[in-house]
Amino acid sequence: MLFVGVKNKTAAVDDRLDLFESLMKDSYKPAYGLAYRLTGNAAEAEDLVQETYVRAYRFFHRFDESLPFTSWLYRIMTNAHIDSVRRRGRLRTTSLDTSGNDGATTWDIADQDGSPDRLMLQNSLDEPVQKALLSMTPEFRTAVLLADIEGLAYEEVAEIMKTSVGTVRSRIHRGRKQIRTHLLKHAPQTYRSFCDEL
Amino acid sequence: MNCKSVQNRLSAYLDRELGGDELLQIRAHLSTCKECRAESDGLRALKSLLGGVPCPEPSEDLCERLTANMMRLRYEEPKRTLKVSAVMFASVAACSMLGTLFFMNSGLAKSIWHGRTPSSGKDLAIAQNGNPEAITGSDPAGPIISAANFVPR
Repeated sequence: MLFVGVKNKTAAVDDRLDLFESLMKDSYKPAYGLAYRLTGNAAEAEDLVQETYVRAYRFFHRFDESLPFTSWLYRIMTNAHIDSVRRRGRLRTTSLDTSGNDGATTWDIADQDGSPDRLMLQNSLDEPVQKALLSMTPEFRTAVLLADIEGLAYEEVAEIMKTSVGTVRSRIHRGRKQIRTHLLKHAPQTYRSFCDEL
Repeated sequence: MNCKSVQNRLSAYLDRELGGDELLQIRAHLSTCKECRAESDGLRALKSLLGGVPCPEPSEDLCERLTANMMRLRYEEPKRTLKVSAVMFASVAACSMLGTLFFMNSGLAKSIWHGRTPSSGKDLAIAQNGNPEAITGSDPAGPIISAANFVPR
């Protein structure tokens, strides 16, 4: 009797772990995309993804299967990112005026196929956008990324960030204004050309 | 609604996060205010730019490394649980042994061995001394069962 109970429990645990692996395989690419935007480079993004899945694995028993896995995962990732930034006691505040021009700072920018004007402009703006994101506090950066790049509703962002919709609304608005100010200062021509293309 | 209030709500407006009166008021304001309309267009362009940011691809072996991590955790966690169980088992065993030793030394065991379960303070005293005669006012109605008249059931 005891052995049957243990066997059933083990089978249930195995099923749950199989489910976790399957969810992980479906979600790791978009998770990496968010991690990349949060950290600004491939090495830190991969570390963040690995840390996120380790935490997710350990707390998978708390995951409610009726809710989207990515929302739960992104909550873990944003917390892990904020923890990591605080632990290191630094925000990524690389000088925006000198980076890229002095040759000392490099940015991994994703390649993208296609060459219409708008895409070209978009690619040219990718680096200044990433720099602007990294100059923000992790809370502002996370709110903007979840809303604009992941396309989540404010309520979902609030749920992920464990804060109110009002705070999310304010962070997104102020975050976007910071990015625009940065683009108008550091890539004015490209940014204006992009706006004209719309 | 003045220009400042409208501009503070423009991101939420563009994200379709407003409803009811707030939405109608902003829409009405934008139709008449050139400055706020320009601000709205600027934020819309930025939103479009951010929404089109390409998603970088992870390295090819990331999935394999993640799976390997999961495998490691999958087989390490039960080991850790087993280790905890072993420590608990050892603690319980040690407590039992200590309890048994204490019991043997207390003299209770002797009383039980002599076939009598001490039920009163007097019996306990006998068990501890091993000599019923030494107990003042021992109960003559309750003879001590000795090894000589002990009959196993």
